[in-house]
Amino acid sequence: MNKNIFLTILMTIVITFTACNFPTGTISSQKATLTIAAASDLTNAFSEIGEAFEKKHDCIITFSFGSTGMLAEQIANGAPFDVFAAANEIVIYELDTKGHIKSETKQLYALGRIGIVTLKGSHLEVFTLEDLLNPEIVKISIANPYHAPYGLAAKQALITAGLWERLESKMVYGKNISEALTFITTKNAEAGIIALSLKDDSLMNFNLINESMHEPLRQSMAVINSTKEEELARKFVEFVNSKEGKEIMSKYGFVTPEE
Amino acid sequence: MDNINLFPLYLSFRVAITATIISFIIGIPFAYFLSKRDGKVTDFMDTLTNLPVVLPPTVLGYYLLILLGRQSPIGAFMENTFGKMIVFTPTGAIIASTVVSIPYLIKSSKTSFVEINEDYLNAARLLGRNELNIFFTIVLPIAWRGILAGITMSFVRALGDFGTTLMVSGSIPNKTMTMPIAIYDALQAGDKYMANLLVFIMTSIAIIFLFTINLLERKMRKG
Amino acid sequence: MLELLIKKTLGNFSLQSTFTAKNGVLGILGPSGCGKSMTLKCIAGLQTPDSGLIRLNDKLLFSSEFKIDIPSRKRNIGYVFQHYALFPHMTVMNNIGYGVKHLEKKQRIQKIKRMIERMQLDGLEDHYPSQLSGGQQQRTALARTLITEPDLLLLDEPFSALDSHIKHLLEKELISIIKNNFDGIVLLVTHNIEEAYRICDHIMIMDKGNNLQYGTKDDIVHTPANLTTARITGCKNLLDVTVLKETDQHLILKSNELIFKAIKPKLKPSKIKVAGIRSHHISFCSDSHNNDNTFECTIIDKINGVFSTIIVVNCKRCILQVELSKMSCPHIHKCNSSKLMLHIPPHQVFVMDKDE
Repeated sequence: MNKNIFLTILMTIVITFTACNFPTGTISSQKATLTIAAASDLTNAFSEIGEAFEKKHDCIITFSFGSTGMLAEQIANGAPFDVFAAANEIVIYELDTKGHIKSETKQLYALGRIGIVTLKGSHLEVFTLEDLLNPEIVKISIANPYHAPYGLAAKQALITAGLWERLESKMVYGKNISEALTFITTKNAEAGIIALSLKDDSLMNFNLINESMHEPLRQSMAVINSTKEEELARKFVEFVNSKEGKEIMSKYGFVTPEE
Repeated sequence: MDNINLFPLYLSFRVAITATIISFIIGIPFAYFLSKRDGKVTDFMDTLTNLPVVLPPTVLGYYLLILLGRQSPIGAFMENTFGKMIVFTPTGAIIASTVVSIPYLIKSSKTSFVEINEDYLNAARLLGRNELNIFFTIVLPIAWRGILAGITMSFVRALGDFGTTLMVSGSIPNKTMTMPIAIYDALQAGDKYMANLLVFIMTSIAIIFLFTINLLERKMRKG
Repeated sequence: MLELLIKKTLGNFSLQSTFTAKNGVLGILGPSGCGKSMTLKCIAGLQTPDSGLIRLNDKLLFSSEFKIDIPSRKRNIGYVFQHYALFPHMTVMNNIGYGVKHLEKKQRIQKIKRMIERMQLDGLEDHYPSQLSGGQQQRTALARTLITEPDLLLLDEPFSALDSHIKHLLEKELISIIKNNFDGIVLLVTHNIEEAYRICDHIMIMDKGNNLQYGTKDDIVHTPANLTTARITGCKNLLDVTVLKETDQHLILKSNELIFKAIKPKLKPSKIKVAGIRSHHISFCSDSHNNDNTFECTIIDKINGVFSTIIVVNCKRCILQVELSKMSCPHIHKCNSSKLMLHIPPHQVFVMDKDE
């Protein structure tokens, strides 16, 4: 009896997932589709940009957010993306020398900024990097400087301030900035250095770090060589750097490049 | 070539061995208990045991971060009383590895416990032995093959754990960075040479380990 | 002496077992699922009765009234399991020595050696159970139990795991080993009446969790007290009868159109009874004039066995089975005429009350 109910439910689920075409599936055959690989710090900003672009050009945009390193590896191995927006510049250059992207399309689209974060409601007063020396701050969370651009920038800032050696034992590393933020929001780290684009005023105190403290976080993007929608892909890259696109980007804490 | 840091390898082994020992000490009695009882509570506990196998590692890691984190009752107690943290330490990595690997040990041992003919135990009882004595002289020797398989699976799983350990340990170089995390980092950084080398070492070790266990098992079977 | 008075309910099944056993072999006979194994397990302490008491030689093993339940390991009971339950990871030597680990090493080894000798297991000390023949396994199991000098020996279907051609041989061997090495009470559980009859002194019949009859083996076979006992002991001809007439020594019984005579049993008087006649007690004869209880019948079927033939006949609208040795009357096996005379010896007819 119980088994029958279970089987029925199972069958229903299987049929729903296999037999029915989801709406996106059917529409995609009529409208042009772009698949965009983007660094995870872009999650909020690009979602809005995507919506605006869809309205304008009557097409479907799907995103694959991930860490820059992982996405670059996937593209080098032939992943079917149309556009790649990285969290740094070097990756784009590397892909270019290997011939995975259309050289003339690569362009800077944002300059990332970082800041010191403590959780709202924390009694700790952390405004400057020196404040991180406070012994009450036991753990400081940043993204892994070995491969995450924002983690590297955080480390550079601490080195410039001459604090790195004294603070190194306090550091914990998230595999990307969002995980670094998780350590802070779950109160396992008292403070951290994360991207301005992930700032959430209702949740945290954020103190911007002077951009001269670290090498510029130059975020570049380009059209992938294997794209089948080259024209539309080029339009998307242009759109990000258009007036409308820049407005959205700066809303989410990115510094957009000067013309 | 010269700057290959073997610390992750050492740490991975330390973590995996400790996790396997803990899994053994906790898992074997628990598996025996599960194999002897029938009922809703046992079923529920059985299901709970298998949860780490099914849940995504990040979810598991997040749970542990909340449960053992510095703000949790357990974590706060450890930090305030002993000045020791669980998360961001090798201890955290060991706990994470134990949680992800113990289901394999429990499942495999439980199956071989269930398969033991109850008559063996009854015969031993009537020959004057108590339950603990029977467990060591009859149950373990008869079920050892399943237990060994469980230990192997559990160890290899602990050695290879990435997602959960990463969440709990904070991937601090020379402190909590295990082999799989080092491999991930090398890959992310595009350091292919390092990544390939680490992958090669890891794979070789896993193969050698499984092979040794196999050999050992065949030898023991021959008696 | 073993004294037993227990009740146990398990799901739909309820066991109610009451008997006493003295030295000698008591066979517990019944179909599978009748509760005979459960009875043994209760005695051994492997299962706990709901209520009642178990007493062995003045030692109370179980009593619901006094809340006594001595654990199996302290009951000093020997148990030979259906498939022997020899520990597969231990040698013959270690299996036999398992129950005497508490003894000092020298004494223990000596005891094991002696047991191995007595059980004719010499040379097999270092063999594993899987390397032994059925008989050797059985003797090892027996040795493992007897070395602990139990007060009571329980044998659970000890021959069911053996090939039939060595069964008889081992039966004899087992009995002589037990008789020579053990002088306590032996309980033997079996579903085979032949086996029980050959081995046991007394037999107890069980069915559906109840003790139906307990007596010497000859009593059980010659005068089954009820229909189930008759069936379990292998009686093939059971007729519903009405009593037409009672004399001092005889009853005149009627079943369908067959009217025959039987020795009068000690039963409460009632009109409706069941008469049982074992198939090998019925005989065929050539003339009817001089014999009582002789009737004409027609052959319906012949079932050829190895050494005997069962002839199914219709005798005045009663279907009867007659078992004949092939040697004794070859003419009947060959004869094609279907009409014969058969004789029912009145002293071999047992009359029982109908089970409710």
